Amino acid sequence: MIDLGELRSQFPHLANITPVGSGGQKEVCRAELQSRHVALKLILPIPGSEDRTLREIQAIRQLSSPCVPKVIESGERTLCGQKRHFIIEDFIEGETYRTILQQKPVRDFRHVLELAWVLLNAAADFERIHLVHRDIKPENIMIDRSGKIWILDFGIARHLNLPSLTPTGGFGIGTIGYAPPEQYRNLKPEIDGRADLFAIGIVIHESLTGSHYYLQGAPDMLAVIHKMDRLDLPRLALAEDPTNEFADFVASLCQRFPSRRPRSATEAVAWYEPIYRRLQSITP
Amino acid sequence: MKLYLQFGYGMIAHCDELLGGDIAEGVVLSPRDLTLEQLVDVAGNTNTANKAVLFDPQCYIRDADHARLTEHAYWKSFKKTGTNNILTPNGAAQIVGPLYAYNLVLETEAVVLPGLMAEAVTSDWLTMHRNFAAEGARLIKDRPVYSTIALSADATLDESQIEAVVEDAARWNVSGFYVVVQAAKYLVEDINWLANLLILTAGLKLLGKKVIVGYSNHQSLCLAAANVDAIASGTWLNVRAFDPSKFYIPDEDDVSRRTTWYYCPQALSEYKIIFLDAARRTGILDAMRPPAALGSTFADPLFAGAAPTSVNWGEQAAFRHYLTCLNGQVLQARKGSFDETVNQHRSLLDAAEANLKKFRTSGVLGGDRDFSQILDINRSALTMLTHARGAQLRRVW
Repeated sequence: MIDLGELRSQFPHLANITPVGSGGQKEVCRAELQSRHVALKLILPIPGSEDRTLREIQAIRQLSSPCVPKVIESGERTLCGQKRHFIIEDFIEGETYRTILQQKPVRDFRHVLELAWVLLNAAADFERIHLVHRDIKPENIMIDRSGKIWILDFGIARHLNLPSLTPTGGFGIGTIGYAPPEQYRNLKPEIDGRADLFAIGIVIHESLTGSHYYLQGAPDMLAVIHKMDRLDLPRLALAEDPTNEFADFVASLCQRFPSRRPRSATEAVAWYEPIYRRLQSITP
Repeated sequence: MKLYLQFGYGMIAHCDELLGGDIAEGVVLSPRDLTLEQLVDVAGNTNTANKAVLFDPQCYIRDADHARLTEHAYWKSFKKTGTNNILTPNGAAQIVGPLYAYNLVLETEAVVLPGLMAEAVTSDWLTMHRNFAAEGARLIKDRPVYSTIALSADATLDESQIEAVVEDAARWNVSGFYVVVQAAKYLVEDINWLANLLILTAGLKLLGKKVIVGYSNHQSLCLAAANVDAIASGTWLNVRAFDPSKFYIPDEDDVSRRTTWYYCPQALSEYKIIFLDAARRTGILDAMRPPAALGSTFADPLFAGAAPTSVNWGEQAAFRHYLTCLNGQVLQARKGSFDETVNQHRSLLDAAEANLKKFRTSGVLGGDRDFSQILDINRSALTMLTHARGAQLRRVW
């Protein structure tokens, strides 16, 4: 539970601190910093997770991507007698993509073309600093009031140039339905930027079909995994994509085996760019 | 796509004849079938004919005991390197060095590294190949180096093992791959086997490397859709389909080899000569004549008017006819795009199906070399390739 009085004393440079929510690993407040709206994220002190927290902070401070909120400050404070890591970053006013999908499950093709372009470029930005987000999903995509797309929550991001913090094998971390098989199987040598490409492909497919092929009708997560292990996504068939080049591309992103996907996010962007430009120019 | 001649028993004379006639890109030499002196002779003749020489080290099985194979100096190094040591960089060096010496003498166009046949693709097997590749890159600077990827039939049937090879091979420091997969039969009736071979080779090609598939036959014409650079094929069945048992068997003769088969390329099938007599009697023999565009005149006597069985048409002509026709078909197999290449092979299958039906109704049957049961295998495997890697192949063709 956040003690607002203590928060104000620990962050005297922030005004109008207001709690807005909490997730599995953090509590989030909205505040103002010199008339700028910011998010204050207080990482929960989960035993054994400190290294991972520091990794997340390190990762997003290194990152320069137009669709990731800019980190203004990070550090450590004592709150209620406990040391808490914090991040202050730009506050994104808008809705999660999950909320938008719930309102209108099948999105306009033109919108999805743009979404794919932004997400793929973000994945390429991550790749440039050897980072894999590992949790791209509608809940972690935010659309602000101007329509700009943002990617949030680097809580389980992995820095490929640093030693892994968890053992290989067993069940990996991530969100079942969006994490690729090599991630939920925790096959670490195979996890790289292609894991994010898989998740992006799933989000695109879900946006255009109005449902999540693997999650729909599955009684539990084991059933989802069983389905993901065996079945490729049904190929998209879209009137706006008469030559199937977009469908081909999405199918390639969502391949069960990483060796069947584009070899990198950079390659995926290079593949997608001419498709995006062409379809964008002919889609009303 | 190109054809290499896969060396086997009794191939020397065929090689001279075919390479002299500009059939095939080159040869893949077989130490099982040739002494060092013979290897040097054949390689010399091949190089003189401006054709490429590759040397398949045939280190597929550690306990192989074929006398001629195991007498080669590099094979002795392979044999005496301990099983534990073979998994280490030091072990790789003990084998690659003597093998490179052979390649220098034979003036090969590229060095094919050793590769044990994987009963299953394991981390040890992958490590061994990485070590061979690293040693090849360290030692060999004057010509390209290819890794051998040899898989058992069981490993080939497992999609995840195929992808594990592609995933790991992306990190091998080589410029190409020599792929050999165990076949349960001469013409394989398992869709998964053929689909996985297509998916494997396409995956290797998408790494930007050269891919040559050894021990192939006309069923492998579909490998053009995987953008494979070349296949290698030969005379007897044991060089047209990979059967590792040949590396245990010292005896060259096999009764089953004694039948002469005529390859009808437009039906993708082979026929005993007695069935050509039947074709003559039912008036369809001319429809079995090979298309002139394939360049084989070796079968002309069969179509000269007399009953085919009365013509002295034997193994020598049959082998040369097969390889000449196959070379022509191989050269026609790859087209300007992935989709055109797939369509070309589907057209080939459709035409073969129509011919087979016509021949069958006239009493002309190919027995176990009739392609009728294989047509749908190839069609389905191409669909599976398209599903798995078609988009990427389409993009980078």
